Amino acid sequence: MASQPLTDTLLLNRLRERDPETLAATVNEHSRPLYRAARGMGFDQQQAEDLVQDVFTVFLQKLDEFEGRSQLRTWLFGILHWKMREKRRSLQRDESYDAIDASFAEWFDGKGYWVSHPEDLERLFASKEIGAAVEECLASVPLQQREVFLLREVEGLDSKEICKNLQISNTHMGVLLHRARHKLRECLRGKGWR
Amino acid sequence: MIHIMNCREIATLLDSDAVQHQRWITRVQFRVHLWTCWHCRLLARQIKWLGKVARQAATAGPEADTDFEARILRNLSFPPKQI
Repeated sequence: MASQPLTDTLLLNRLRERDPETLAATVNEHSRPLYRAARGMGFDQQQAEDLVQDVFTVFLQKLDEFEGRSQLRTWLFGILHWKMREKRRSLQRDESYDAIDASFAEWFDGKGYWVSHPEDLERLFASKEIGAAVEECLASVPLQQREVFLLREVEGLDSKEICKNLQISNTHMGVLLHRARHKLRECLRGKGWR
Repeated sequence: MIHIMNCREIATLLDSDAVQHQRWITRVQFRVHLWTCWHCRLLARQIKWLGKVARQAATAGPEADTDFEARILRNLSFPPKQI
C-alpha cells in the first residue's frame, strides 16, 4: 500500500479499477468519523453502524457518477446526511417555529446592548462534568441544527462543504448554527453553567 | 451615514460564522466592536470553548469496536472489474 495519502482523484481511479486495498484504506479513513457523526445525531450503536454500512454501499454504487467536484469526505458526509434523513422522518419538525429569537432577544436591551452578558467560561470548562453537560444539551438541540453544529465543530467541515452536504444556503446554515449555539448556551445556563 | 453595529448584531454574526461573508465595512466595524467590547469578546470565547468541549466530548464518547471496519468491508459487494 502507498505510504503517502492518496489524492481523491487517484483514490477514485483505483476504486474504479476495483482495487480492494484502496477500498480498505477508504473505509479505514472515513468510517469512524461517519460513525461518530451518526452517534452524535442520536442514533444508537447498531443504527450508526448500519448507516455507515449504507453510506459505503451507496458510495460504491455511485462511484462512476462521482465527478470529483467536491472532496470525497464531503461526498461521504452528504450520503450520510440523506441516509440519516431517510431513517428519521421527523426531521421536518426542525423547520417549525421555535422560540429562539425571543430568548435571544432577552439577552439585549432595546438598543441591542447586553443586559445579561456572557460569563467567562474558561474556568468552568476546566471541569470534567462540562463534557457530559454539553452532550446532554446537544441531545436537546433539534436535529438539523445539531447536524450543522457537529459538522462544523466536531468534523471541522467548512461552510461551503456543509451547505453542499445539506443542500442549504449559506444564510440558512448561519441561522441553524446560531440557533444551535444559542440553545446550547441556554441549556448550559439552565444547568447552572454560566 | 454609517450604521453602528450593536452587541446583538455582533453576537448574531459570531454565532452564525457569517463575518467573512460581510462587506469590508461591516468586517471592520465587527473588529473594532470586538476590540472595544469585553462582553462580545467573552461571547466569542464562549463559542470557541463550546466547540472545543463538543469535540472533546465526541471523541471521548463510545467508539466503535476494533472489528468495525472489517465488518463494514465484509458486507460490501466489490466484485472485480469485468474486462
